[in-house]
Amino acid sequence: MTDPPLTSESLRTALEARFAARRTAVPLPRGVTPYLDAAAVLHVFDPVRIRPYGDTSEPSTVLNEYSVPAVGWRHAGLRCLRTEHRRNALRRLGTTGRMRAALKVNPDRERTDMQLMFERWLDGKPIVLDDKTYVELENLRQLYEWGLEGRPGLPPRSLVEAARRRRSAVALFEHLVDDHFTGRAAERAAIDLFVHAPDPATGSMLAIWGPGGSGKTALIGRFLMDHLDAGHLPFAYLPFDSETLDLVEPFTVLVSAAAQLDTQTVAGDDASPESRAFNAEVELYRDRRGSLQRRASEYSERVSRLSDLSKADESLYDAFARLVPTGVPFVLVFDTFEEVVYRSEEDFLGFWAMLDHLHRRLPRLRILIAGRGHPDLNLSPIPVYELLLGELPGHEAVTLLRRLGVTDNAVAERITGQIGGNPLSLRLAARVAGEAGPGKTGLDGLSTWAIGAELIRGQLYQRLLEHIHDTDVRTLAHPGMVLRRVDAAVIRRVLAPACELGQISPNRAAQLLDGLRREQTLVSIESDGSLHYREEVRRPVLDLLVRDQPAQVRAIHTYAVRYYSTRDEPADRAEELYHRMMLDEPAAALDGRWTRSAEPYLRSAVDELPPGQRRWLAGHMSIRLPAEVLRIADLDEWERLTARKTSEHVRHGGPESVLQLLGARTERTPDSPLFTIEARALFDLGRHVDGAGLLDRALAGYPLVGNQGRLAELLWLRGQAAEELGDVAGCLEFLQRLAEVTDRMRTRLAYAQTLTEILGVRNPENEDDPSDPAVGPLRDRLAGALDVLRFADVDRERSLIRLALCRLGPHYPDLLAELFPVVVYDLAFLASRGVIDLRTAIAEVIAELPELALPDGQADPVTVVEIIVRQLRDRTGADTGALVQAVLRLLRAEHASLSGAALAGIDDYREAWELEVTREVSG
Amino acid sequence: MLTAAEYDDIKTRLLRVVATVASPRQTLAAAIPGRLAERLPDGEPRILVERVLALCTEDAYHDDPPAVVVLLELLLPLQVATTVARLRTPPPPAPDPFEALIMISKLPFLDRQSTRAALRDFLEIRPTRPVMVVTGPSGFGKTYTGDFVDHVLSARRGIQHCRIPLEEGQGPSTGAEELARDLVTILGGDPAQQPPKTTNGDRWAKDLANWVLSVANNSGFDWWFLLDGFNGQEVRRETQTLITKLAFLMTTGVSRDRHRLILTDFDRSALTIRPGMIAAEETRPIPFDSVRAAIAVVLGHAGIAPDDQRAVVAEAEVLQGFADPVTDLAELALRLSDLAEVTDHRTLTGSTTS
Repeated sequence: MTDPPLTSESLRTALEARFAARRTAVPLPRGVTPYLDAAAVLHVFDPVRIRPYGDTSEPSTVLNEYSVPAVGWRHAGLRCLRTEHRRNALRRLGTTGRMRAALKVNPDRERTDMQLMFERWLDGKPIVLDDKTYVELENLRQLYEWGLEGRPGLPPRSLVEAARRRRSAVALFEHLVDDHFTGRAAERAAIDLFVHAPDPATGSMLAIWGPGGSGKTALIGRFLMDHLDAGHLPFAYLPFDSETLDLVEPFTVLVSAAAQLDTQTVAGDDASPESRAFNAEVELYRDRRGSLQRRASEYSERVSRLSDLSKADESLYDAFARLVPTGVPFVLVFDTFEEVVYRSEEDFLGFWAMLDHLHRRLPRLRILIAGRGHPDLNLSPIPVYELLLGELPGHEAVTLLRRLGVTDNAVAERITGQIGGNPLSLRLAARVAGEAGPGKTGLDGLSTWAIGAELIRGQLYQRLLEHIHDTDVRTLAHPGMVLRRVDAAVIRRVLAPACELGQISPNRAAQLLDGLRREQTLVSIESDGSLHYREEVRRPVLDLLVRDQPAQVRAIHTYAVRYYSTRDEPADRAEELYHRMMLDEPAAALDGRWTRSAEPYLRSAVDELPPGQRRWLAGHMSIRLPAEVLRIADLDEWERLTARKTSEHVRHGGPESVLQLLGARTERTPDSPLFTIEARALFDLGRHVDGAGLLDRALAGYPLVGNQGRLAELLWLRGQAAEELGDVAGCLEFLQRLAEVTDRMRTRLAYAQTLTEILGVRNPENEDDPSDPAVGPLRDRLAGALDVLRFADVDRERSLIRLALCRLGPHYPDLLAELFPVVVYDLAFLASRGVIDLRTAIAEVIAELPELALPDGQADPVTVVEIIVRQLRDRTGADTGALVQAVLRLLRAEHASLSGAALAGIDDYREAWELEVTREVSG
Repeated sequence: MLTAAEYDDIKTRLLRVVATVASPRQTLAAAIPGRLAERLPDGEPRILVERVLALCTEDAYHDDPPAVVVLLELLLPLQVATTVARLRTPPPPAPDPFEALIMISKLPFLDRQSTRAALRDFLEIRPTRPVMVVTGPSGFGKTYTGDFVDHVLSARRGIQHCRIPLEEGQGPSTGAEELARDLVTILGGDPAQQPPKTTNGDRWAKDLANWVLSVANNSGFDWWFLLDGFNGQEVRRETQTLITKLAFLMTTGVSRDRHRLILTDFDRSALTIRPGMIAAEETRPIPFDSVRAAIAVVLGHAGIAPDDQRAVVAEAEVLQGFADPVTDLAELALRLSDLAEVTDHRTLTGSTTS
């Protein structure tokens, strides 16, 4: 059968009918109400098996439209009612009696924690907020979202909110503070005195340090919990073993701290105005930093960019300071400081600058830093107190053991005599005593004479490991802990031969891995599926292994190197390097195996490494080295170590501090990375003559087979210096040499940038048709270079491409149409955020092309750009000219140049540390 | 092809159908072409239903009518008529899926050039911005971003979409472990293998994030994760921490090479990844010009030229009652979808339907 052809009238009729049908309110189908009522009293339900509360002939699938898959229950196919329909249904049910009756219809319901909370209320059981955990309070909050606020038996919402926020504040560490906390009265008093001291001159930072297991976190947690209940000590707890806290990006500290502060200081559900303002400031901060990352920008020198970066940082710090309640102390707690203490001093510059800024703005700011080992805080601008956490005195150690279940006082005293008063050791001893039973002399067979707490702890862990049933899994744990990570392949190829476990099949290896995974106190799961031994267990056991079974330890390291050297993933390479370093292999063996992507995986290994290996590693990643070590390093190594340090000095210390650092030695290797660093520091100080002289010396001595990227950078900077000194001919000569070098490079980005700059020098007014005959051919070459750029390069260097398009002028409309959509949106975004001002240009463009204007006069940059992009795509020959001019006007409104910028497209030639430097600094 | 809501609805309905038959596999296999049925594994009904929908979606418009339409007409007769009508014929072809104005679901996706560019960048090995945050007023199409992701990935083998929406008002009872479990379920992992909470909240969130990504890395696919509606004010602190950890891990190591994260209605100020690594997208009203362009595409597919009187009628009807720019994007999408359906079944010369 043939449908009649579509006419204008039939089209209109069909469309109007469809549109009108939607405008008509559709009442709830009668058959669905019994299902809605049944589902309303179920947190989650099975859509196939749910039974209705009442009669209906509809199938249960009628509920699909009113429900969604329940998050967390997708594996079971469960759904939950949409909030609006649940509220309506609960209102319709009305009484708790009817709700209970509705529940009875589905006795096989899933009893989630949320369901149990609801039913507890339904059954009239009292709800006591003080003994609720954080998760229970969240579930209670859900009941209010269901529209049950004001019902008998439910506390006022404001009280629930307050309790929830209070519990949320300690959720990060409450598990570390338990009822067994013992003693430390003097230490708690000392912290209290420090926090509440009114005079900031007496010191605003307290370093709490001590050996592992001395209870630093528990002490701080106890202190905070005590004051949390009193409600007048806002704090933020910031553990450095959280990888989302980045030492060299202090804003990450403030974001985390602000979130915690918000929960402590706001009474209701919504964020406070101050909190909203801070979040808005963080967004603006990110956008400002994004703007500063542009290679081509309105900044004519790096020092201005860095100044604005500094201002952006301080603006954010000030916004954070406004968030902090005044009139009471505010405590910032930095825990697990040992995770960062090995980092170089330079990595701390920004962190100290941030704390210093806050300290001056917030007289009542008190900083607690807790970590293993004595921290070197000499570079802290804030006066520091120290509190050493030693062992518990004898009677308190005994008290702790008794609280942990060692009820016989005499036995507790003997154990204390054996192992001392380290709280973690005491806890382990209590576990050992509980599992194996103590002997009459304490813990039998424990050797404690003349050894440290770590080794004692190692023995205690060893005892606990002996309780693992599967002997092979036990071997994985011990001596398998020589390894940092374990997966099935490592079991078969490393541990099996090293520990003489024989041939292990893939199935057996998977079983063993599963067995190990269940030992949750020993291992954590990593994103690649491997298991990592928890460091607090591994370190003491490792110390013991190295002492007692050195040959076994060496064998495991050796097999590990053999295995990992066949693999290329960053995590595997990191393990290979770790084991090589633990075998004390020479630098020559390590150099060829280094890859930058291994760095994040090696950070946690630094303090295990022998000193010589640590020095080698410092040449490749940011690690603190003693000054003496640096002084005696050979020139090549010194340059590499020093170059790494300069980027943080550039950002936080200024050019003088960079020059001071570099001035420690005057000699340079022929292709030293320090020439460009020093030249840029001189430029930052306005000493372009000195910088030019330095670069001339570097170029004169540059080896023929030297790093071509470094040569390119020298030529680029020398060209910039010549331009700054008014030597146009000299500038062009250097840029021409640079074009020859970059033309030979694999990617065309550097070549494109060089040509862009040459065009800028030859045609400084950016005339569409200048008189200089060289401009035309140069433009052709630039267009050719842009045409073959990879999408990734264009996307990465959007600002550079925008500038290049400006300098090409209107003569390449197809290229413009192709590249403009790719490179324009971040510009439009920054304009819409007020970070860059395009208003005048947009007004002029709209005036020239009225069709771009929105009827109500809206001139949102992103919307205008979207219309231009569409018109470019759909253009005909007739309208191209005006459109292209409009595009160029918009792009030129950025007033960008490459003055003060570094050279793009030479990443292939850079060293690992150079690629880590943040774009705002590297330019 | 199917929207997220349609997928969930149809999956539930199909489960109900196969719950009553002796051989769920046979029932489902009989409703799809043989070459697809061969690839249907054995397994419990839930897995079978998910797999049959995946096969039909992957097959897209290979057949006429498409496999998904045949499946729905055979097993769910008259139950999902709107969906069947919409999917019966293919959408207008777009040489570049990132430039399409009508998605494979036959629903419109207009403007959002910046989003399209940022998603295109996701295909690079190491994109400069592997995390996207989409914000905007309610009803402005943030959730539609997920449909567009489905569209661009429909033509890609090796990349899958992992999408978790959070219904408004459900935040308090949705914790980090619930979110992680659902992610792992979609990734094909075992939700029972969830790491226990034996350590501080921050490290547990990291353990959960690592678990999710380890499953993703072992799945054999690259993944684009989309978390829709996990608004900071609604969700638990621990859930937000998990999302922050996931975002961080997306910017490092293997995950940066393989996986991507899209967050809608999420406060990007809570993320601690380095500046410059987030594509911040804001949904906006749609100008009439853009709507006209989409109308032209739909009509062009039906053989109706821009200067045809019917084009004038279509434009007038679709734009009626809207201000310029259009803010009621949900109604706009439905109108364009209606236009596509109405013009699908009729042409200038008339088409034979049976």
